[in-house]
Amino acid sequence: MSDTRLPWETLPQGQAAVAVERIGQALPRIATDRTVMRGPYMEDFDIFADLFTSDRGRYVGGPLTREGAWDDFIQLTASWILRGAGLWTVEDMNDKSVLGFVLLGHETGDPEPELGFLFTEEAEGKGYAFEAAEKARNNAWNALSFDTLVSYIDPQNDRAIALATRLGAVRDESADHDGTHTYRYPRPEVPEV
Amino acid sequence: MTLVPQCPTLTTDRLTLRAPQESDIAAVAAFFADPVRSVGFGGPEDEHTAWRWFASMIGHWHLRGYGFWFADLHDGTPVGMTGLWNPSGWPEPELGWVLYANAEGKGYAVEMAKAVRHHAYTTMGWTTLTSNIVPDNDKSKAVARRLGAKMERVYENPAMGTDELWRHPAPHEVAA
Repeated sequence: MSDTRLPWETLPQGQAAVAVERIGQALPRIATDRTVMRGPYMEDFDIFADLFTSDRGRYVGGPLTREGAWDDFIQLTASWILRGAGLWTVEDMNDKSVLGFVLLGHETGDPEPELGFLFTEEAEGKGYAFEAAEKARNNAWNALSFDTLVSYIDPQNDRAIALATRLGAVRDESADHDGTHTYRYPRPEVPEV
Repeated sequence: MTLVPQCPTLTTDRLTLRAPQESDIAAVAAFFADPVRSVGFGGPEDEHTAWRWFASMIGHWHLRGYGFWFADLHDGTPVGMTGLWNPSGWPEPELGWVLYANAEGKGYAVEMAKAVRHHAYTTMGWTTLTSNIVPDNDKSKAVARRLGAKMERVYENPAMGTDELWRHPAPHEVAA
């Protein structure tokens, strides 16, 4: 896919690569039973772009152009520095392949922060998204003290609705937003572990 | 100042495991000064020796590429440290853990050690791990058992004397 790399997607070299490593190591890694959630690197963008420019992106604001996917990718990555939360790349703990992405973010125009998730077709149906999104949800409550957390889901996105429901979210019609249905995660009284 | 830029931040449900900072020395010195709880870690020791241990631990990160992480609750309260340790004379790399006073009994040791073991087995690609435990450190053995480790043999440790080597389950045995 490297032949599709646009000028602004150029991989950092030399001392810039060292700086990327130094900054990237500060982002929280979370282990799940079968995956590692880690901060995003430039190398992840090809898979991110494939997801958002393909039909898989149809329920999450796509399909986007590669440039549009890049704008999302870099905004979600910047969120780490501004908010202490952002986009995790979810990789298989054994072969390090990228399974998908999980997000604690707050997109322009949204009333509340959201839990988002998008996984590759190959990773679908194996419980990886649940495993990672559950850790992200716990992180929102335990590590970040979020007051509220929702997922904005396209009404036709049955898989996402099923996942959010499995994670304890309940549809909140009063908070439906911008053509999506809002699924609200109840804030636990005691930390979820 | 970043002492160990190559140390990744590991996050669990209740804890953040982060790189050592110079400000951790006071807590390390307080731990080493504890006449009871530091015995399994080579203590008790005075502040000067605690400082030297901390400095050697920073050096261990740079020489070996790994060392001790410092564990905080998500509100920043320090609870202890856990890490991968293999100084000269050790039989093989070990997974170690220390809880500060008042942090015991809540499962933090198991939670933080599991996160580092997972990191060693996945991101670092290690295939086995041990923990060295002095024979009368029952609290640490309880943590080791909860981590699934088993006593393998007794050996002579250059710093600790007669010591037990506990072996952790292999990567495929701890994966779901």
